[in-house]
Amino acid sequence: MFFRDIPLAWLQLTHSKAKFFAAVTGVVVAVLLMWMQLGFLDALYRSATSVTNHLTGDLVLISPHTKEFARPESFPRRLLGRALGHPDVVAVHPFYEATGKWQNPWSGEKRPILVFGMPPDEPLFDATGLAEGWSKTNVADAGLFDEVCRPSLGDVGKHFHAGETVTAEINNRRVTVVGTVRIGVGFQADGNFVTTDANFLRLFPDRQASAIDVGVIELRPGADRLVVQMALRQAYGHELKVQTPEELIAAELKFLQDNAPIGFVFSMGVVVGCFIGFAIVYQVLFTDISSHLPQYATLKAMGYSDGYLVKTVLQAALILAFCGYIPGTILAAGLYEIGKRATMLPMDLSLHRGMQVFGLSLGMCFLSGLVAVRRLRSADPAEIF
Amino acid sequence: MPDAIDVRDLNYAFGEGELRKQVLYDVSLTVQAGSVVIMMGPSGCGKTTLLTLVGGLRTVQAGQIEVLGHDLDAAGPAELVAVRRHIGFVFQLHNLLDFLTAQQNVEMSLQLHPEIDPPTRRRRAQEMLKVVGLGDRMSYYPAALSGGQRQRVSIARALVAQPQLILADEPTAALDSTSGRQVVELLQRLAKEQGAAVLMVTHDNRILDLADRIVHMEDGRILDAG
Repeated sequence: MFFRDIPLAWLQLTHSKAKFFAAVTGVVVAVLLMWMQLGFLDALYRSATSVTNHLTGDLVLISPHTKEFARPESFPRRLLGRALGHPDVVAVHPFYEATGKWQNPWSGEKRPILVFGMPPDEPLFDATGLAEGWSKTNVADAGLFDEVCRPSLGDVGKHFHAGETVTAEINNRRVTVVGTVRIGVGFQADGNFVTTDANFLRLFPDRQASAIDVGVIELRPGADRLVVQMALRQAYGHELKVQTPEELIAAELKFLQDNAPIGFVFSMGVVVGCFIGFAIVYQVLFTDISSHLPQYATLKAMGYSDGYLVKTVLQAALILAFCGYIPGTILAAGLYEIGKRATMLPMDLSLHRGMQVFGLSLGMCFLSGLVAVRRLRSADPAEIF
Repeated sequence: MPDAIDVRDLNYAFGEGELRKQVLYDVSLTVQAGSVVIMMGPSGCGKTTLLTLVGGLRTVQAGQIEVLGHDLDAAGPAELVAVRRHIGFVFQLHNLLDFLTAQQNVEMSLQLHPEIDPPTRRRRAQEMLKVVGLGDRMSYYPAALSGGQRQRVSIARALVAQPQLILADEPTAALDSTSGRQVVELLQRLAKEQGAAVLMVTHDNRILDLADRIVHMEDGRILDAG
């Protein structure tokens, strides 16, 4: 039993405080690297859907050529009418979307911004701040600015909340910020600007009111969404795609996974982290075994089994995993906070990822223990006499 | 009372084929329970090999060895491990674990016997260290002990589980003459008190008077089994 016995692995590891500290630091670095890589990967995936996550509506119409929500292909507005033919459909709203150039009013720098145009009577987003600010957008060249934007666009939120009037240029046209919302940014732009369809068309003069990007369908309460979806799919055939918001988000993620190598890049980072941890733990265990071979052989001569020594080495490996995981996770929490502020990407310590990192650290340490154990074979009790 | 060690017609060789080198030839030796036997002989005469065979650290090739009533020539690896738990080993070098205190090193020996609970284990280790004169050094690490003190800890480790047989390989080799003799005297006295047999390999002429019997070995043969 573990607690009855002299904790050989623990005593051996901690006998030299400096060595123990160095070993744990190695595991901490590995754990931290895993947290960061997995965190960024997850944040990028999640940020990619930050806009679609806030979209209201029961079903969404998009062009079959639209691969990414942020880079939509337009389709004729008149196609929306066909959906209204279904008895369960209460309304179909046109939604305009395009990437414009925002000029930071303080630095003058021009950065991409996603601009959304929606009917004045029906904001199609469900986001913090929208309900309060929406009515004020119904004047020319006014709109709501997404506070959760990258710093490159300027600290609009701070100035706005301080009571200042913030004006900036989108596509060289002066706009006034009349409120702020919280949506979140993905890859394609540094921020979001939400306004009415009329204002949208002013900012993008080459766009026509008759060509929209998304149709948002509202159903009668109690209607079976999937049944309506089937019917509308038949009605539109190959002309438009009819998706639930969940399907839209899933398709968005799938596109990203298939087309951006970030999954591979960040997974490589995790592998590198595991390898660093593996190498350090292996080095520590191997050195400890090597410098204690006569003593281990003595234990064998006394009547300790090979299994006891193997168990001791693996225990040492698991102790290192534990001792590295906890400070590594605390450090990761701090770095997540910094990363969140710098990139505005949604980085949070989640239980799921915590278990993932824990599993990886345990596996990494256990594996190095298994490899180091081979060194025990050299402990031959017949050779110590 | 049966003999502690009964070796008959033991032959042993290292290597195979052309490299085969026989080190033991028809060795027969008995060590009575409770007696102290010193084995002497030049380096390479096979006495250490004999000691490792008796201690169950090598597998018997030809001949018979009975130790404390166990047939070692018929025993598998697991049985050999089990037999070793009833033997006390004292080595040339103390081989104490440097990250354990003197007391913990002694406890390691008792931990092999699951019937001894931890409080008893600690108490017996402490008593044993007092017996070897280290009552005030129990929580010292080996690095803080002198050579003689370390060897006394290893004697405490070998004796604490009250084995009926103690195998010692040049226990004085790393010690100066005074502490060397003290250590062997201690070993001999405690073995007598516990009724344990001792088989000790040594080159040290100054301790021969502590033996009940002296066996000489040369070129793999026992010269005088008297």
